[in-house]
Amino acid sequence: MIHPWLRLALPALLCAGSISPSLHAQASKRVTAPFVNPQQITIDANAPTTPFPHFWEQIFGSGRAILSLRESYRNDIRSVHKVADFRYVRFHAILHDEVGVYNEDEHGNPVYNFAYVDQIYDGLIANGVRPFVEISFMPKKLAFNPDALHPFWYKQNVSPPKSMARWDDLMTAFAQHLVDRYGIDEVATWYFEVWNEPNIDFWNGIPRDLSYFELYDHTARDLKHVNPRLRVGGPATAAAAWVPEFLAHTSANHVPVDFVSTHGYADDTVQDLFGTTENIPRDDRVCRAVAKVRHQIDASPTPHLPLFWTEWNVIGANNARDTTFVGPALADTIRACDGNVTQMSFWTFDDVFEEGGPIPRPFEGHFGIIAKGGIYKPSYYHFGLLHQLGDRRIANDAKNLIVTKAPDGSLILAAWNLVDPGDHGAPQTLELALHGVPANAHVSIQRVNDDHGNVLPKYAAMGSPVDPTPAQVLQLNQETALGPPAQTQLHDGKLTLELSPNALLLIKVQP
Amino acid sequence: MHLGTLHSLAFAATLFAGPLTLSTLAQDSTPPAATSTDLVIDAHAPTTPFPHFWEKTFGSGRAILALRADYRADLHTVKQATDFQSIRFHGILDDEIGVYDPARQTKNPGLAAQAANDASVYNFFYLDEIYDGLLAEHVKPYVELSFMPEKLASKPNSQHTFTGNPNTSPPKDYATWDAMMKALATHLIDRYGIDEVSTWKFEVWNEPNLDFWGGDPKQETYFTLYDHTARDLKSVSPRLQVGGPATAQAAWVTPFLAHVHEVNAPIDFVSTHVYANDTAPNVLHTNEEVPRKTMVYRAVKMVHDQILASPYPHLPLIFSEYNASYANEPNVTDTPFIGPWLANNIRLCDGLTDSMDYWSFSDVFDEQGVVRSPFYGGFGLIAAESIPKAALNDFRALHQLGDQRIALDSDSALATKTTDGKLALALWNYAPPTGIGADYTWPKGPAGPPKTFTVTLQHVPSNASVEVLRVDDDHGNAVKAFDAMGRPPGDLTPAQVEQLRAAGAMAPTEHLRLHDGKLQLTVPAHGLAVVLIGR
Repeated sequence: MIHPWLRLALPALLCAGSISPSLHAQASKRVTAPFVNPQQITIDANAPTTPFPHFWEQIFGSGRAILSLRESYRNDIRSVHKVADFRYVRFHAILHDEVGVYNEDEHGNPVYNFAYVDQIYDGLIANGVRPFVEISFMPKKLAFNPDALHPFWYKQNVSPPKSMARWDDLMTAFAQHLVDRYGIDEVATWYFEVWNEPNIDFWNGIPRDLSYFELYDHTARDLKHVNPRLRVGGPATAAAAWVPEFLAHTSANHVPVDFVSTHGYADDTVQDLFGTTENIPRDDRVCRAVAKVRHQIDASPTPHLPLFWTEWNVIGANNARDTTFVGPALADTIRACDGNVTQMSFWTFDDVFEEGGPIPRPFEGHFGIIAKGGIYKPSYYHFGLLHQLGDRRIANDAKNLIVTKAPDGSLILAAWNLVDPGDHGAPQTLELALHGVPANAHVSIQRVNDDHGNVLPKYAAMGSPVDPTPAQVLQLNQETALGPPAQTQLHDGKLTLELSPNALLLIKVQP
Repeated sequence: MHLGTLHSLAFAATLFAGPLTLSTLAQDSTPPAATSTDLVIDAHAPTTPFPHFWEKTFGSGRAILALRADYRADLHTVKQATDFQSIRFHGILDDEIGVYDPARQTKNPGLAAQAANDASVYNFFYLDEIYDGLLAEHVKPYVELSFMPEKLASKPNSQHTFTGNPNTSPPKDYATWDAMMKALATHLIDRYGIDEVSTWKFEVWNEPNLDFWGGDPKQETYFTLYDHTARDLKSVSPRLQVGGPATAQAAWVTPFLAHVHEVNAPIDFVSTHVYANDTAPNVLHTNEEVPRKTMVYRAVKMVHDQILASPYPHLPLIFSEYNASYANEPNVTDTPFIGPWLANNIRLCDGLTDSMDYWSFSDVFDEQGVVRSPFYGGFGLIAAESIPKAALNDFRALHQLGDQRIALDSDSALATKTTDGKLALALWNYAPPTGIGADYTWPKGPAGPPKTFTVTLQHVPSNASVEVLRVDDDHGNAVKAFDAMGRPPGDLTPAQVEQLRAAGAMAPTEHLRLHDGKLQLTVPAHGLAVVLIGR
């Protein structure tokens, strides 16, 4: 079976001998320069539009709860605010023992302490983001199995509670405390997600699904009992799992559910995501999984539930998350997932992150868009470019382009040249013909590519310091700062764009 | 009653107490009579140097906490108040800092852990971020080298009970420890420069005579650790300053110095600890009853004399931890009790020690777990949620003292001269804490009689302007407001926190004038007043 993108690209491939070796070498890899080159694209500014909510930049994941007390974490929140419409942050382990929520006195009676929870959430709110509360993991003294520790460096307990009554009491006290402290009008704008990835090693109930459903039922009812305006959801699974079973269960048992959440990464296997052996390029897997789950919800007893994709990221091979690859992969995901998902939470906003222990140097391919020490990766600038897209979309067949319209009538386009990690790619030329705008309309172009907004060569030129000083971090961020947009204009309604491998361009065309 | 506080020079009781005094006394069933103290201070009297040895270095919660935003905010506050120079904390080698992990693994969800393929077995990223954060506030690290990375520990299960459960065992092999110490010192010099790092102090371990050290026998194995570490650091640069034994209860100094001398190990300073509720049998090896008021002084004097009698009579002495209590006693460290206690220690210890390091600058501190109430008797100057305690205001006021001292025959006053020639006095009224132990004792009135100071100033204009900074039950005391709230046991609301922060702020300076060269000032029990006299 020929992949749809290959069908589109066939005419180009027939005469593009220099770029074909990688095509056949690995069938599940994206084809290099899969488009006709040059590519001719027509855009009508007066074409019908559809709503284009910025579903990719409003929730981010982060390192676990306790890390949010750090100054570096909070500095990075403020930095992300400069480039993205950052509204919620989701992290693991608000109930981990280091946060100190649950203890038992000498008689075995529960003692709650929300001091750090308050400091953590206060710190988010003071910096303009709200908690997307992931309720995890199990306090050791509440654990059925105190030795059920996850292999992550911080060794969280992944056991079910020893007593559901005690879990209910904790959930009730937790929710009541939040409502008392922040007010129901505020907390009603938050989300409460039950656990993290219970289908893999983050949950050791037996059997995993049924024991998780029991945890979900109790938690959802506990929260709703405190206040029905609290929004609760699940199953927060890895690899897009369990959604039909979960919704069948909640529906059959009349358990409250306000949203469906699940995860999927470009690096997940096709077998894990879809249960098949198809060849699906890694770049396509996230949105294929999103579409799958959306269809599952549509077919469920509760078809109108919103879908929150609470973890995802692009291909991680070759430390790709530190490179210019992220932007094109992100833009392509936005293009392909639009319409099928309410929110996607990029895992993570920064590299203040310790799942594998303290990070020893800045560029190891970690998830964040800000590297350890506060260094802006290319992805930081990518989010900044895509944030500028309009809020209405104009349909276009091109697979390397998003066309949007801003409230002032200007056209705002994103164009990219996606080349997978390890591939060399080739420059791509886009010849745009724009209708519905003046034939000599003013155009501004911002770009992130190997030479713009790309810290890696600057870091290498600095001698690749393992432990950059604050002055070096500042210097790197100054060196990668994007200059003012290039200014040009349409000629006879046409615009030609040259895209180097993994370039991402943000083009504004004035009305 | 509190006759012990009655000054020998007092010659008459103050007959007419002020209205404030009357109203507070009215709560007490047996109103204590005011005592009085007369002082005569000559601005032209000879002076002796008066270095601010009590505010050079502070202790803090463990290393990883220094990354937190609230720690850094409190650091800024205390720096502004005291201009302190360095900070000491445990745990820079704890596994949570990640300095030593020769077999680090990375773990991706759902996948097996795999080797991290690090370029070096050392990871100084957090250590740098921690020290960078201090230096950004112009505060240097006083490097306490502790505790043992698990993968270097001879006994991986030798864990302390404090939060984080640091490993307290000796290294499993000294070649690896030596290599790590040299790598650490080399890294610091590479990053910060030898001119900077040579101004730091490196102290070997913490309280090896207690459960912080799992070597057996404790003393002999600690000496081995010290010898290796001191030589390692000096081999990287002889300009690095190293010291020990960092003992609790002022222990081991004499045998430590004898040992160092015998093996010719490098040493630049002596460090040890004492807390005011340590007992005489433990510290002085006597059966006296030494009160909280003078225990610290007795220990300082003892160690000072031990050094004088040692082969190294000129070594600096650093009391790298001290406080009025080693336990959480809310009537002690949270209240204005601290001011007179502190001022009296300064009076007594001046000249006997180079530095006394108050443990700790902030209650961003979790040795016993997550703190749930700001006023639990934490060691810090600033309670949780950045609520200033009376102790912060005490330090803030005492910072105004000058750097030359005028001798004064009083146990309730210090007289100093500032570089611009002004007189700066501290006047206090010591009384024991209202209660002891972990449970707070509600005060039933003042802790003792007020004390009226009549100060006669010579060689000062007879109507000179006077500024008074007060810290006492009614000035700069957040606990009074917390008591008025009924001491809520759980988490405070943001409004309550704001209220307490305001209540804990330094009281406005009072502006007075001398009358005929005299100043009369009444200081309540647990009160401290710092008086600045213009020219």
